[in-house]
Amino acid sequence: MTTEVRGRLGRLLPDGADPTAPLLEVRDLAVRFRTPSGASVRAVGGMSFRLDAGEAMGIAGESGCGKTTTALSLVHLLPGTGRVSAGSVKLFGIDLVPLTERQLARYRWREISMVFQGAMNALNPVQRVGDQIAEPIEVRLGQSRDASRKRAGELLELVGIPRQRASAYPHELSGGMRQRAMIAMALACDPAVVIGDEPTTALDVMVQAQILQLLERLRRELGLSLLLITHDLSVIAETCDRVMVMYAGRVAEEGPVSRVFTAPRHPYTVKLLSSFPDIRTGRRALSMIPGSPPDLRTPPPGCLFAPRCEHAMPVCAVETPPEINSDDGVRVACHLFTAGDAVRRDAASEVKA
Amino acid sequence: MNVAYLVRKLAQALVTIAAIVILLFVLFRAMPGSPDRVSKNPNMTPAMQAAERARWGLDKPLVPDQLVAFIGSTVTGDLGTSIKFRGQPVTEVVGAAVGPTILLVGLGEAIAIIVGLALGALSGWRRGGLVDRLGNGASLVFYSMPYFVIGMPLIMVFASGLGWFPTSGMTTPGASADPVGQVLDVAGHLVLPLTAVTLGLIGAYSILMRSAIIETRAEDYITTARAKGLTDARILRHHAFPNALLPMVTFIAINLGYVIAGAITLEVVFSWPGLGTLTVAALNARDYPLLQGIFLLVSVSVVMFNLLADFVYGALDPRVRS
Ligand SMILES: Nc1ncnc2c1ncn2[C@@H]1O[C@H](COP(=O)(O)OP(=O)(O)OP(=O)(O)O)[C@@H](O)[C@H]1O
Ligand SMILES: [Mg+2]
Repeated sequence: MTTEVRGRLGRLLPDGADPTAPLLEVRDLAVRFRTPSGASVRAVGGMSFRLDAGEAMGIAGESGCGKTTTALSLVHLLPGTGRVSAGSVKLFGIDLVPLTERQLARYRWREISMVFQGAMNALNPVQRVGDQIAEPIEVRLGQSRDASRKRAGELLELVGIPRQRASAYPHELSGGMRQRAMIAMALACDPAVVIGDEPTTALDVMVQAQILQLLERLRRELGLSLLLITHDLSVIAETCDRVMVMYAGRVAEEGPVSRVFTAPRHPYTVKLLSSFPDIRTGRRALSMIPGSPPDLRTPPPGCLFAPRCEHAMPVCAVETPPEINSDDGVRVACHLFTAGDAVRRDAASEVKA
Repeated sequence: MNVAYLVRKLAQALVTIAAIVILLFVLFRAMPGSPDRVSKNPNMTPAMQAAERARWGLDKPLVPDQLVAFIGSTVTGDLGTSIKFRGQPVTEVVGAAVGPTILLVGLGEAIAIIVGLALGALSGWRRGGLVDRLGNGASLVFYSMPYFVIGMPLIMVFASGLGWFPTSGMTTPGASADPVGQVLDVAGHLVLPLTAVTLGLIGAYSILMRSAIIETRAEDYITTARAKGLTDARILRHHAFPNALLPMVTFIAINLGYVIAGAITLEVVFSWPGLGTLTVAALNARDYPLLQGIFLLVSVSVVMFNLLADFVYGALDPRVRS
């Protein structure tokens, strides 16, 4: 007999859960897409990260660096042409990668739910929002229709929508309201992890701030564990504990927001931060990152950022940089920080300057 | 549903019908050998011709007198008398053909809508799967064939060949007197033409539904539904199908509107006594009043089904209502 393991709010965890394991631990995750021409795109190439209970981690990076792909691959939501080609995704210590669709269904939404960008298209246009929120409660948690409806009403109130609006259709709600409804839906089964993929991108600044405040409040009140995908660094600065900067399907740098944003190490993080309007002053920054990301159908050897890097050294074009963990909790994948080389460390101090 | 929406659509339909009536008037008077033909009979003296013209009201100006008279009689259900079926009112001739056509094409539509939509949805949902490869292949074949091309081999094999079914017509003259026997007789005649029309329509519906489902599959809310951990069947039933149905509504309505026109080639091949056969007969006999009546009936039917489509659309798609 397996022992019962209870997680957040005393909920029963799936069989085989290890109470001592981290909430979510991803190791060497790689994702490939088949293209119509028969070529294979390595959209994600060996990503590792972990998310602890109650933590919020931001995932940042240029468009096309694999943020969405990473998120979708956790519970096999990739389109038919994509598949996880290597690595493991452990939730409560259970590896989700080898699971069948049927086995995996248990983890979708109940453990990992999502808030997508632009909820207009992410919500079914011909179904009432209340019914869409109640659906997973009824179908996945096996509650009665009435109980599910009632719970949906409570969730709407929780995200700041009057429960009478449950009978509205998505198009009858404003953009901000729709995003709130989407958040309410994501909370329906009280999941262990909520992934937000650009949850505020399509909204105007005022509404964006309100949604972020809502996420903040829900984190505090419900102790949510959050993966927040966005290319807006100020969103991460405001909401997250840690940040992971991705480049071309790999981790460039990862660590506490306070460390990474004040003292970026990877030349790409430096560029990314300087290409952004200053988080505190709101000043528009001028520098753009010259060049473009590599073609992932034929990734070059070595560091993928090397062709755009001012500090590139001969080794960068040959060897994939190892991930270096430093004492302050920052992890960086850059040859500048490979230990035991004085020249490189000099160059590194230049980057920081 | 929004009352203003209903009223607006209803008003549009009425205006369209009025325009059709006027168009018919103009069209049939502009055609060679139109109503005036009788009065130009060379065997009549000019005085007799004039009397004849006066009798039919053709001595009055086209507009407004003749037009007003035409609209008046059309509205009161008087469509004139048929030339081919001497003396019989057009409404009677047409009325007798409506039943057989609705029985054949209407029943075919009903079966094809259910089977075609289901087949198309399953094909598109599991693209490249067994249902798709068999179903879509067959649909393409039947869709591309005119009804009579589907019908003729059926006649050759199952009627002339095996003799299981009658080759033509809707009833066997003097076959049976009791109602049950009559129903069975009609049913026997119905099997082959119904099969032909249903196969063709299933092809059309399933091909369109398949592409509607394939398009819907790629929508973000389908990804959301998958992320919710719903079963494939539930996603298809509750999320993909209701959305994919929307573009089908108009197509179904237009098809249903034309049911009344009959399936001309099919009815002729099977000598089915419906409106399709009647249209061909009226054309051959240059029976303008009869043709006019048939055209009016078909146009009004198309308009009414479009109106119905608007209502159904409003019921299915909340975005239309507001
Ligand atoms: N269905 C697909 N078929 C082929 N390649 C794909 C597919 N989806 C994504 N990719 C590729 O995978 C890479 C990562 O895409 P992804 O959408 O994960 O990026 P992203 O970081 O989420 O970008 P954005 O900020 O624009 O949302 C891209 O290079 C993209 O071309
Ligand atoms: Mg994305």
